[in-house]
Amino acid sequence: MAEPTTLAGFVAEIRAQVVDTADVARQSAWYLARGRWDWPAIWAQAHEIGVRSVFFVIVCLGFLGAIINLQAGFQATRIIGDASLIGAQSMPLVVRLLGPTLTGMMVATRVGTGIAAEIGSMVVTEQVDALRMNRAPPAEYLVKPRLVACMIMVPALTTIGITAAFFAGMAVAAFAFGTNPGTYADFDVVVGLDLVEGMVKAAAYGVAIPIIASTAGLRARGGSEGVGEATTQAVVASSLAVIVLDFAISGVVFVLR
Amino acid sequence: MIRLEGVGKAFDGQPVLRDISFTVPAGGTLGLIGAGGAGKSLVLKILCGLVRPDAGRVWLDDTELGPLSERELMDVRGRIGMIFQNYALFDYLTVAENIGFPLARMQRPADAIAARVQTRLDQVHLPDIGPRYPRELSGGMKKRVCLARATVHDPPIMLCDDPTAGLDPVTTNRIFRLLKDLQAQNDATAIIVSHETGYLRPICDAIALLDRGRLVFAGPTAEAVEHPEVRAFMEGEPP
Repeated sequence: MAEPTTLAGFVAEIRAQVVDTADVARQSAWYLARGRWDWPAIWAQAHEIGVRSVFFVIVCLGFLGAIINLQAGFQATRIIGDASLIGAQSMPLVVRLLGPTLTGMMVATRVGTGIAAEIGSMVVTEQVDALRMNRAPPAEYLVKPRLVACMIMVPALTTIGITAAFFAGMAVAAFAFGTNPGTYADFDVVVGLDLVEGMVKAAAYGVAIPIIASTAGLRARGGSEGVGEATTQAVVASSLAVIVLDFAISGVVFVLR
Repeated sequence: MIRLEGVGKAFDGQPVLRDISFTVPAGGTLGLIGAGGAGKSLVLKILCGLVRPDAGRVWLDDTELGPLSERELMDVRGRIGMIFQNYALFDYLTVAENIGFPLARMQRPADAIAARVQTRLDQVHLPDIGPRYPRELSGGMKKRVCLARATVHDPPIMLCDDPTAGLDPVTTNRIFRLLKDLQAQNDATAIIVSHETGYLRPICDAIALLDRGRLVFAGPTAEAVEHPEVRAFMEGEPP
């Protein structure tokens, strides 16, 4: 992947990336419908992608929940002198937006880079060619287990992250502003559509991130430099996809409300 | 039988192969020689459908590769044993799992795979390394494991990309003997890319010389050694 030096080259490179990503997505969908289900490989990926990300997600989303409630509490106390509604204010935001999107971003950085680096190094050492020689198409053997694992684990991580943000926010509200935990945990403010929006976003990221990261890995050329470029490309493209999907799904849900 | 007719390939507008045509009859062995960057590895990748040519036609036995889809090519590739220049062993699998991989993908029973893997390990004189990982092996051992994996399913076609690159003369000799034995065992049609012209001559029926993407010569070994450019290459004379 040589660095494009002109605008036309840059556009051509973006176009090639989009075409390749669509091709990997199409092949993965085909193998999801008809291919073999290698459950040991899927569970191994679920462990790598999901279980090993739990601590990272809990810490990040926990701090996020604490920060949001700290800032919201300061503002509420300063303006209206009452921080009892900060739970009602922050919970829908965390469920609809910050929980799934920040979990998606974390998966894009931690997992997307791992997928791109692993597949990219297999490409440059001809292991992917060896797979293709042995009736193991990369879309089935490499992409599918990662895709299925992400489809399961990203919504699971999102749920865990939202829960961490909720309890950290509750603790901050209670200790910093004296908000009653029962008042903070006002679940009536979270409507069914909020939960659906959050989970649809998580599921969409669970599809987009492994497809984009795998494509970046499969496009790796040359040696370690090519793997490095693929890794960078994976994190940039999958983070961008998370933001774009967040906006698109939020827009659709806004229309439905 | 392997046949190429007018094959050409370019990358980023730069021609890498131009009008390559040759035939290897069933059971025959062709030695493909040429300087680095001449396009030898690319010819092998075109022959197994890993790279599609821009021009020309390719046949493996009676099957023309051009019109085949990627999924149809998978069946064709099942008839080929490929030895990669850089081993291409799966680093997350043990040696035994690597060798048994083609059979596992064919959904053969586990006990049959284990028995066949052990037979191949014995044949390449590495009977005890099944549980080890590729990172624990020397270059020569990796090449032999690669050879075992490429031939475990008795392919009728063998494509060998520089199977002795970077190996000492003793190991090189051992690899060429193994190649010849395994090819004879399956009566396979083979193409061997190598710079070891001294080892190639006795085991190849024909020699082809590539120079900067063009086919300079393709013919019987006896004629090749008389051809001035092939002879010059074999004797290390600059073109």
